Amino acid sequence: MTNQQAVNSAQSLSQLKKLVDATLYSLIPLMILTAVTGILSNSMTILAVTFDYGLSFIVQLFAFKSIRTILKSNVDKFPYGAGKLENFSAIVYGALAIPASLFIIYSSVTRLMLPPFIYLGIAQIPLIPNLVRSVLLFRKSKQLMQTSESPMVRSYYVNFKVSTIIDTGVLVSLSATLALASFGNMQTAYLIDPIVSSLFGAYMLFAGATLTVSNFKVLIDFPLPEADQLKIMAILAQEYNDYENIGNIYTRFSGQTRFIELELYLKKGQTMEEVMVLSQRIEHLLRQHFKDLHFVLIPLCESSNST
Amino acid sequence: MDRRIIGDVYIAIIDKRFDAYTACKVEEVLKDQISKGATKIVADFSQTDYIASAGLRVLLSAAKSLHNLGGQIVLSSMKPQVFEIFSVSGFTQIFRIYTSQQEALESLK
Repeated sequence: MTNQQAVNSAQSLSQLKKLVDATLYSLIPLMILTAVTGILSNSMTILAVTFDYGLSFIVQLFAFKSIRTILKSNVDKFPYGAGKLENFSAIVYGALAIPASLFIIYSSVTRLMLPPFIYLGIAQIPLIPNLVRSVLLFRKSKQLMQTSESPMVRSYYVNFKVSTIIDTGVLVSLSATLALASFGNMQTAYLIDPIVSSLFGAYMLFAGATLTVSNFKVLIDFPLPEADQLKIMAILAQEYNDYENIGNIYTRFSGQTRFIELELYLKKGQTMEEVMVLSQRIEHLLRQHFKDLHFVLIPLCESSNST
Repeated sequence: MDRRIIGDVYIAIIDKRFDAYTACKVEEVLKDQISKGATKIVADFSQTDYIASAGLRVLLSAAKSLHNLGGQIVLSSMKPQVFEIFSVSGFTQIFRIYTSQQEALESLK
């Protein structure tokens, strides 16, 4: 990493920290406002939004901790960050979102059958600052995406993009409800709220299940399947004449990434240049099978080969 | 794994499954024999129904070790499904494979 790249990386991280802080700090008053409004208005949609904010708050606490851990570390020299912590927080969100969404769907269906009275004017109150917050944070994360390749920035960008769409949808729906009610069509008006909240619950269920499964795959390392192991052996057979012997082959996959660390005993007099060429050739052959690959060739000297 | 010695040839009769579990045992035995001076080895696959990549790794390592000592390992009596794995992984280019143990033994004379 050059000095300029290191400076850019540090600036991006500093910007990301500001985004994480702004997200968390702006969430707290909105969470309280939606909770109070949800209870007072008796709107299931607002209560569902409150549930989502509560879960997001937990995730944001992990992000808050992660970004500080990353900033304290020497990430330019050891660029692993705190990715697993982010994956764990996403699993926590997913695990909590599934029962919460089921509760929202159940309550919404119950309300569809027997629509309760809703104080529609109050229900609108938190939706406008919600939307403003989502739009501002979406714009900030989009701006940051242009200078940073961090998966955390990407997840913020996607999250606020979805939030902006959902907040707009909820605001439009509840405004339509208010308009219908003001024209005296109360029965239809009171049906819109549980319909919107059940859709919101279904979205939460989908997001929760998707996040749990995808992040579990990244968080937990699995051994490489046998078919992939055979592909590695085939490459070693192909390069048979260019090494002295093989040592251990360490393989695993995490998410879509395959990690292959290959110990090879070198031939007597094999130069570093030849080893580099061999390493590049093996990596090239591996990449024909595995696009997302982390490959390391560990050269061993002949004297340490016990057989 | 059964084993036999005929003259100066060490014959390793590989188990029904040559997977990660049995590969460790075979590797240990082959390393031990090579360190004791064995230079001619026949790996007999007449009883083997399945070979995993771990088994291939052991054979590759043994072949390399023997080659460095001027010896060799040959394979024999493979069932079609086992031969298929050798073929797919390109190991048929590295090893001499015979249809019977007798042929393998004669090739080492």
